Amino acid sequence: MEKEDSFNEHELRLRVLIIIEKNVSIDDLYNSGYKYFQITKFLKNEISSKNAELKDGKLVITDKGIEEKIKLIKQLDINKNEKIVLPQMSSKSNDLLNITDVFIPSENELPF
Amino acid sequence: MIKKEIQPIELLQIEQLFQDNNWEIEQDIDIRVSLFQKFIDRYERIKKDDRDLFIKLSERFLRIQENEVYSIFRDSYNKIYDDYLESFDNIYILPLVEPYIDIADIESKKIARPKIKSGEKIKLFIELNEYRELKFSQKIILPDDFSTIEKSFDMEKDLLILVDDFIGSGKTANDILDSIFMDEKFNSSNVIILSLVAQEIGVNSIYDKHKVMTFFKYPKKRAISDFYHGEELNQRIQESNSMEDTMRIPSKWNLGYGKSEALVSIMNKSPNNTLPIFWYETKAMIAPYKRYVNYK
Repeated sequence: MEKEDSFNEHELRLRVLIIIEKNVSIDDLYNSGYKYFQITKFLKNEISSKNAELKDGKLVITDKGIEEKIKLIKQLDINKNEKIVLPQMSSKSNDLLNITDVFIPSENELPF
Repeated sequence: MIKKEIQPIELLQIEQLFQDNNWEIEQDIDIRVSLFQKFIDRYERIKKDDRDLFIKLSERFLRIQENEVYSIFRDSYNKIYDDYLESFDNIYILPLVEPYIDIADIESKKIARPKIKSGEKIKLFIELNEYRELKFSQKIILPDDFSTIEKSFDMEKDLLILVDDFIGSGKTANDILDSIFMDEKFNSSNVIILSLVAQEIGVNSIYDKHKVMTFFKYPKKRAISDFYHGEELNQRIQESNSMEDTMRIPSKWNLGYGKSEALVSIMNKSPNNTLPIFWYETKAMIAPYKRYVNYK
């Protein structure tokens, strides 16, 4: 089943920007039903829009991308009391988490 | 087997690999047929430390599709020396397969029709194309089978070209030549092998055993052992073995049949000489360059 519209456009872009910013796995998007070619397209769109760039062999968010992310958070009306479900972050240290994040461990980190 | 995570940059690198290799990225939703999906599914199962080698091997992976077969055959054929071809009256082209099926031990008078071998597919592609463009094409004859030429073949004036898509370790070719050379009409002066792709070890093995020459378009060396040296070679072999362990590939396929370390898939099928990390699959784990149609 195609799940092109798993998220609305703004939410999807926010998730993509957060994935780029925090350099975490794309599995969140894949597990939401997006195919790899679609996710690749989302990433390339952000590069084309200059919200992300390749730097020293890494994909990083730009200042414009940060601004875009903030704008999207406002548009989606996400406040501090609401939670944005973030993708798996097992490769990142916990200090990147803040109060609005929910940590979803990867499968091999679960104790059961 | 637990899949590992994949970072955004890795996805972009794989997309670049597909672009560089001119591999299609289909917008197909079925993972079983989309090469891009299958490739990433395989990549995600590999430990992060081993992924660099997987990508480097993929960069050198040769994928030949059906629509390329005839032109590659033609290029391989054109590598045969003109004066050599000119010296024969007839040029017979047959698939590199066992000439006869031994039914001595079969009580029933019936025998199941054997599956089509890749050499037979190559011959079919020759027949389907306008092979009159080939040099000395007026001499070319495509007999139905070996028995057709056994009597008519003139050992002084005729040439037999045995065609296949891939020469790996050379063992299969040597076994077939053993059978054909039982008829004293056939020898290394009037039999040659023509393949689209050939591993150096196989070509040498055939020449060492039978003094038969092999012509091909794409020569291939062992993907790891002939490419890396010294300490890096040891490290890369370890990484390759680690990938095989991660995918629980049976040890008999370690580095491919005969440890050929091939990197090739022809007509949507990898020979067993290809590194199994590219073709080994199970019901729960799909491979980018499959070998079997049905999952084992």
